Amino acid sequence: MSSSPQAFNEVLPEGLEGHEPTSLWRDAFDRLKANKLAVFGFIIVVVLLLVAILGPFITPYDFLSQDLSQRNQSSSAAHLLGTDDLGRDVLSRVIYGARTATIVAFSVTAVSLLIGVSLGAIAGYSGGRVDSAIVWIIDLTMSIPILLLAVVINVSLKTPVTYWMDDMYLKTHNPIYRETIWVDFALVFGALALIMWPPYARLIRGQILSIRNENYVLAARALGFSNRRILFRHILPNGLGPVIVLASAGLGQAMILESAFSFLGIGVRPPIPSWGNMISDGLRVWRNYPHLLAAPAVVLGIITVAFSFLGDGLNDALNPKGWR
Amino acid sequence: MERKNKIRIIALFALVTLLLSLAACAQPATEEPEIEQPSEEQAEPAEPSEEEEEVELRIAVGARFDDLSPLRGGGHSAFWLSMWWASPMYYDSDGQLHPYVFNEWEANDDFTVWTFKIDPKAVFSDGSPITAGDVKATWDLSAVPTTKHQRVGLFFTGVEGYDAVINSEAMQMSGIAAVDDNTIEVTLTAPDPVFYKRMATNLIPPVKASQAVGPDGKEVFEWWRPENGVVVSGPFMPVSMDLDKSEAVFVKNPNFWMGEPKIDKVTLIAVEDAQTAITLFQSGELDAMNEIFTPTLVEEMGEEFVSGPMIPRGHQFWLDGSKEPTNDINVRKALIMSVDPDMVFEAAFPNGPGQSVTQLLVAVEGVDPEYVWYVPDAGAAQDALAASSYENAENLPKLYFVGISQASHELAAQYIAEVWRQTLGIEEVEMKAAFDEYSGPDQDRVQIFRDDAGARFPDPVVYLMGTIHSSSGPAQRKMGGYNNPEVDRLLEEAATKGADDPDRIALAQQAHELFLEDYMFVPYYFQNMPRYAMPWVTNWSKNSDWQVVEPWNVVIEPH
Repeated sequence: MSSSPQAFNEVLPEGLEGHEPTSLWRDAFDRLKANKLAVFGFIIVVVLLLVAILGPFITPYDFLSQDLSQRNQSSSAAHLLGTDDLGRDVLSRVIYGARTATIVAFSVTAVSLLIGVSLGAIAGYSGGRVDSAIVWIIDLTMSIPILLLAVVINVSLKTPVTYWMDDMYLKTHNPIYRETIWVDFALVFGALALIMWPPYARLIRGQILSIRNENYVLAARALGFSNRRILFRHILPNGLGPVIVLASAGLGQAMILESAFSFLGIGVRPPIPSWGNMISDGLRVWRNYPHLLAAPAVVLGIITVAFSFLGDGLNDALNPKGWR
Repeated sequence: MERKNKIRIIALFALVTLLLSLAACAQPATEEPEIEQPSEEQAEPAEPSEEEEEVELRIAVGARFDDLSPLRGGGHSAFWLSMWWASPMYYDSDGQLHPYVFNEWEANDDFTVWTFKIDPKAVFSDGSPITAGDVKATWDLSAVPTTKHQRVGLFFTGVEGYDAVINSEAMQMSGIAAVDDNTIEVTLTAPDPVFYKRMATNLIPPVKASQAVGPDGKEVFEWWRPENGVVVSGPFMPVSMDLDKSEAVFVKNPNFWMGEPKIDKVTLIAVEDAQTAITLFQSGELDAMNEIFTPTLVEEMGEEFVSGPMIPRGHQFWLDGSKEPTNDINVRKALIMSVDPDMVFEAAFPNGPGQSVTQLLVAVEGVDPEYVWYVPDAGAAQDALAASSYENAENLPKLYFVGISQASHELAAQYIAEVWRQTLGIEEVEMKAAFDEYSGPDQDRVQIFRDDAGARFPDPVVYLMGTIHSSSGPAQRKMGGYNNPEVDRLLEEAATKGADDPDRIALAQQAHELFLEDYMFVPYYFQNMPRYAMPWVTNWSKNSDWQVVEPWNVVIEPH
């Protein structure tokens, strides 16, 4: 069978001659580009990523440096977002907070995706007892309250692990044990990842259940392709669209959760800045120094809406049947 | 999503962003608080009405309360005990001792037996006299473990028979005897020249024995409720308590013997959130509160709201001498000498109240204002660290603060941590809020504990005995079993000297200076006793017992 443009055009209905054949993903990208809100969201997300990556090089001040003579200053040329109650530059802390939020959001979403897609795919494709067992695990995991789990981990695991790292550092002087901030990420937010996968698993399972009886899958099976090839080459690529949409929303959700945990004091701890602990600090003085609350809150709001717009645009792009 | 909805979301988001940005760019509030001050016009006496308006004092308690027993020795509601209970004696805000239920007291020559006389005019709200039997029963009941008095040891440690009661081996202290209806005698196991000063507290107010003490010698359940006919000895008596709502109402005690109260009614309500309390104050719906902490309290409520005399109490960052690395005096020196106490205070309380710490003693006799403990010196701090067994910051284990339980403490701790980072290169510092976290594995690890220490009355020996003597709580728990035998010896000797003996102060000063040479705390701040009351509440002051002084004289000006 020929797949050249010429051969393709020969079988096209009248009036469509001359159109280049495009892939599913190219179509989706074109639709995404046409959606201005999604483009706006995409740009914001890219900016966030750049800020997170380049943070140490673009912060105007050291995010920890204090100047008590400059405390609680409002916006000025020297400090675009003002200073906090220890005279630290708020912009620098917001930028560093972007690193914290991005690391948490992407790592949590990546781990959730990996677990969720794998288990969902196995459940959907295998069916039977395997499916029932995985669905049971999904239901069980979804019944765990996220906040409670984070508190339990924080209380029961974080301290011993931090102390163990401290001991290891003193024994080995290996700097990897020195940065105990990673304990927050690995334990508190790692736990988040371990219980945020079920929506992905459910979605991909549903997708596979509906796709596995499509004609092209039946044809592949009739041609004797292996289960693995059918799953990874034919079913998953066609079922991933909604998962990507969900993941983009999940990134925003993970950022909000990180902020919420830090706000409650069970996430990133001062003096390391996170948007959550900055909002918490700002809330105490918002009547006198509203900029301390507004700066991290507005940034968090913008990022969350950007992820929402991007997710919405991806949904429209990857799900053309539902596109209006 | 439909495009119309998207446009609405964008518009809404833009509006919120605009509003927040405008708010952020607004000038910070000026120093002048926005508190309703009584204007001249308002200050004019109100038109006399046929029925005089009731004068009410509305008090916020900083936590919910469901137990108003005067024998708990703590809790937020205990700040208001002087409203409804008369104490044996009381201190005014200048630290002067005044008679109250007791109008005379004396000791034998070696200060081991103290005799207190009850003012014949002292009566309960039902008109019955306060007797020595009531006093003895109250004090015995306070020591019975089931009463759960939080601070009974501050007052009765050293009284004969106290240990037997606190260990549930007896129900009465053998060292306390009602000699007659008006005389009570206390026998101590060792001389205590300032025992009488310990009794000047509202935490052991004489209560009516027949109401409070059951046949088994234990406290009667909720005997203190108005429904149970409680009789009190203070200027106000309770008429209603709704403990589910944490509300209590008091009216004048018609039989109060120290003078007729100038307020008709006192209402206690629980307001747990500081911002809510500030809003209520600013809208004129509250008159006073026991404690309130926010970083912008002075800006919002004005300096007068937090004004008050210094009290013998200081907050410090205690260094645990039993943990690594603060078991090395050179590390402690480095940590302390790198920090400027004035800047720590400035970071935490830019507008006060209180004052920065230059030594351990405050608001007691014997404080030498010229005494210089140390001069902040980054070079000397670096040298001290280099001279320590750790040599540099790389070799130090992580430093942990606990007791960082409110915004001001967090600001101070963050300031200190940043100074250490810049001066000594210490990068790894962690802060924890609650005391609860000082348990389990923390017991072996936390080196820095922010806490307050001091005395309930202005005496340097009592202050230091409760702070740096090896038997004190801070020495045992916060400083990891701090024990300097010479400090102990000097304090123990000072404690045998009479309250007016100059040697008492001289020995305390020697112990104090020896202690400072051990470098056991990073200085933080000395506390005052803030009014926490609106300007229209006059004749209002508090003492180091945290009580309102002479509440019967408190006046609410028209406002």
